[in-house]
Amino acid sequence: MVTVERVAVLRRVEFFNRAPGHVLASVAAEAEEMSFGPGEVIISAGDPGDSLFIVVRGVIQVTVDEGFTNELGPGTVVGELAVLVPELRSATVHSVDDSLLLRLRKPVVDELLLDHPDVAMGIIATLVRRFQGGGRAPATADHR
Amino acid sequence: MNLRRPTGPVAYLAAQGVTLGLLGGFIIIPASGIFLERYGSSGLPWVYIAVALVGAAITPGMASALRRWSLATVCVPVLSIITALITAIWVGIDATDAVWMSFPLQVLFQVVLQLGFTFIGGQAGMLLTVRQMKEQFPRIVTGFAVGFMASGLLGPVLLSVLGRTERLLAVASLCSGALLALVSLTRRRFPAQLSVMQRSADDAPAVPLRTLLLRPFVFLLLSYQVLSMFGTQLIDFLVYDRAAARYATSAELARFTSVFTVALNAADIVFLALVAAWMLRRYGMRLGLVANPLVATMFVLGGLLSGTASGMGALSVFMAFAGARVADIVLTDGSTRTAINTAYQALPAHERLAVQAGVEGLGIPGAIGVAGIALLVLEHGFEADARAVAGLTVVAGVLWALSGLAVYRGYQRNLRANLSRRVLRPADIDLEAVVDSDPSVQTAAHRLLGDAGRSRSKIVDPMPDGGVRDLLRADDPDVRTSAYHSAAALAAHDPEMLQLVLDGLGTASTASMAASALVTQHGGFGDLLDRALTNTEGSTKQCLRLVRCAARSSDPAVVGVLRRHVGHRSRDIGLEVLSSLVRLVAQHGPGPGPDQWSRLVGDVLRDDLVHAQRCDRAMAALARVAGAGELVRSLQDERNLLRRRTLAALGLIVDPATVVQARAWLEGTDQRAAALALEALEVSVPKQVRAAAVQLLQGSPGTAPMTGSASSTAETLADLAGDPQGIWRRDWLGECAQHALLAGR
Repeated sequence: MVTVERVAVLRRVEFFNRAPGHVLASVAAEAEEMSFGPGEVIISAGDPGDSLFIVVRGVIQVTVDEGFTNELGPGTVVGELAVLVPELRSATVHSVDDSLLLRLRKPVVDELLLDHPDVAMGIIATLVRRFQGGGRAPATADHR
Repeated sequence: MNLRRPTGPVAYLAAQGVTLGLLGGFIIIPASGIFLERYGSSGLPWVYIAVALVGAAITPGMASALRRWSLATVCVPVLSIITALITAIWVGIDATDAVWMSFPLQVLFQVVLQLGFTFIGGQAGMLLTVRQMKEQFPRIVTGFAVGFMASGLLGPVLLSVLGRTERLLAVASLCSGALLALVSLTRRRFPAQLSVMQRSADDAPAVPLRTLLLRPFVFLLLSYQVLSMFGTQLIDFLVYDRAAARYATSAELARFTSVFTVALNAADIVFLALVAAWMLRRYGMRLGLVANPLVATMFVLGGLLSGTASGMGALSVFMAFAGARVADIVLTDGSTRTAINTAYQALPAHERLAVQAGVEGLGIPGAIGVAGIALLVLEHGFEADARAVAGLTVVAGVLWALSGLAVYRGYQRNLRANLSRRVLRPADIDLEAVVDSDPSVQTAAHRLLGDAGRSRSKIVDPMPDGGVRDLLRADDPDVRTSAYHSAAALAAHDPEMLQLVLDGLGTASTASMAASALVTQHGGFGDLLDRALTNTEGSTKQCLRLVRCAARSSDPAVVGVLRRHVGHRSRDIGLEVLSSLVRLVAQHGPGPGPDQWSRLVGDVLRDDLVHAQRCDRAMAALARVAGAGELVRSLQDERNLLRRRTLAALGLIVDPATVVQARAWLEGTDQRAAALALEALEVSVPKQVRAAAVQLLQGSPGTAPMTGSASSTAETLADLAGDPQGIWRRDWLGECAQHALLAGR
């Protein structure tokens, strides 16, 4: 994917939709593309985590300890809390079919948040909405 | 912010205006005919006094009802009663020849007009934003003028068909029913807006009408409306007094009245259609409030001077008074009604309708009554002639114009107060803290997010420079962070040490502490900042971070450095320069005179407007070009950046609290709040920057967009891709344009 295409993907992600294109371009340039086949593990519960994943293509499945599962498609994010508070992952994420993800590491997100408070605002707003909706986070493969 | 033209509501309200005009016309034609035939013009002052008494009697009830029930709920029974009254008077006169009923009919005419405009204006206030009101309300009033003129043209035709004057009241009754139907239809079409009850934020008990009317701004509105109606009644009297002196027979008088009414309304319609909205948009509320008294008074003064020189019976006197009447009606409908309806929007929503009902219901009938008494006193008490009435009209006109200026100032104050009254929810405060450009506030926000920063707050005591140098080169960012404070103190005389601290600005984990250390410990921060802003080869990221913390500097040179760089080549850095400058000015005072800041802001906005127009033309040319989606979105980002720069720049010349609140409203999803914020800024900023600021903030630069022809598309893409003139100054736009060019091949 060229940078312009990556930016188009990032714009669809709620976390980043407040950021201007040129800022997303600097994020996109640091992102890693990762492909997974059906059944392959993307994140394992209990592993340390310091990066988030954005689904570009395909479907992934998030499973938490209690057996609660959730399927996510393009434009969604998993592991986002790990870039804010690095701790052990609390959920396992599998690829359901052939999938393509973008991986962003904590330092990249840190740079973004420091210079672009609008993005931080978007993240806070998303998290607030998520926690207000039912009092617990849905199974999005994070560590809580 | 999207300020689309609200065709739907305006069409419904204009239809109500037409029907109200027809209703008024078909009441006053038979009412005047029957009343004047029986009682003559000497009975009119008693009508005026009765109008005042009826207004005073029904207004408190109306105001109370409008605070208890929604406007739509109140409209229906009131219009039903009016329809029933008209029907009863028609049947009464037709069946029993009860001519005395023309007296309450005359009173009803004034009451219907005041209530009608209160209802239409109230609905407009709920359906339109304050900006749309200024643009669209003249069109709604045009409907009234059209309806009134149509009644004048249709009256004689219907009279010949129906046979008796009072039977025109049957048509009035039908018009009243039609108005009732239209109000109900509008309510059904816009239920969310019109059925809502506006309550105070704290659910406090409703303030009594008397207390409301004594509030300074409301009292000004009331005074303005009273003087407006008082002046209008006197001008009306002058015209008919001179006409009566000029035309001997009732047939001549009727012919004059007919021709004058049609000419008056035709001029009104032309003015409303062609000039009114443009005039308000171009010259604003202040002219909207004072144009009417000034122009009408000048005509009356002209007539008075002419009458003194050549006698009050001269044609020039009659023409001057007729001109005053035309100017009064045209400007009342074209500017005063719109300006006053807009002025009501500066009041808290839960009090607006009650105030409007109180001012229109008490003030206007009261003024009509006072005019009646004044005329009676002048005529019977002093045996005064038209010259005395004209003199009184001039005095009233001057007071009316002065009250217009006072209302405008009150409007400015109330808009700003409306902004500052908004109560921030805790969530907003947190989010706004994160948006803050102060690194310390951002750091706090990061901590809220759980970002590890435990050791960042530690500031080590000064230590020997060798030790500091070692710490600054450590791998662990927490260790480097702990050394910045001491390093910055030494950096003024040690270029290598300075570079190590500046390097710290380049990494998120150390940037805040490095910047903080430089701004508090480095002796020559102003020079350092100047060098960073002048260096075209340096890192934009580091420069941004340095500028962002400049507001915390105590170096007096910093304000001057920032002033020199507000037009920085990088618009992102320019935004940070403006933001830091606003903070420093707020802390230490403006320094140079306000005019200098206005000039500085004017220069920034002028350049930004050119860039905004460039962006808009490019977006129009690329709107449907395959592969240019990201480019168009990035051009929109550029427009958003210009809006933020405008708000930052306005912070230098407008109360920063107003700008902060306006920004929150402009960036929110509430269209009405956004329009109110824009209005508040428009009336607060100096004239020389007003037009540019509004165009930049509302997202419409006011130029015709370039059509997306093949040649314009290719030229635009080439321009963006190469940026040969260095006007776009954004590598990312070039990259997107290259992508679009490749996609198009």
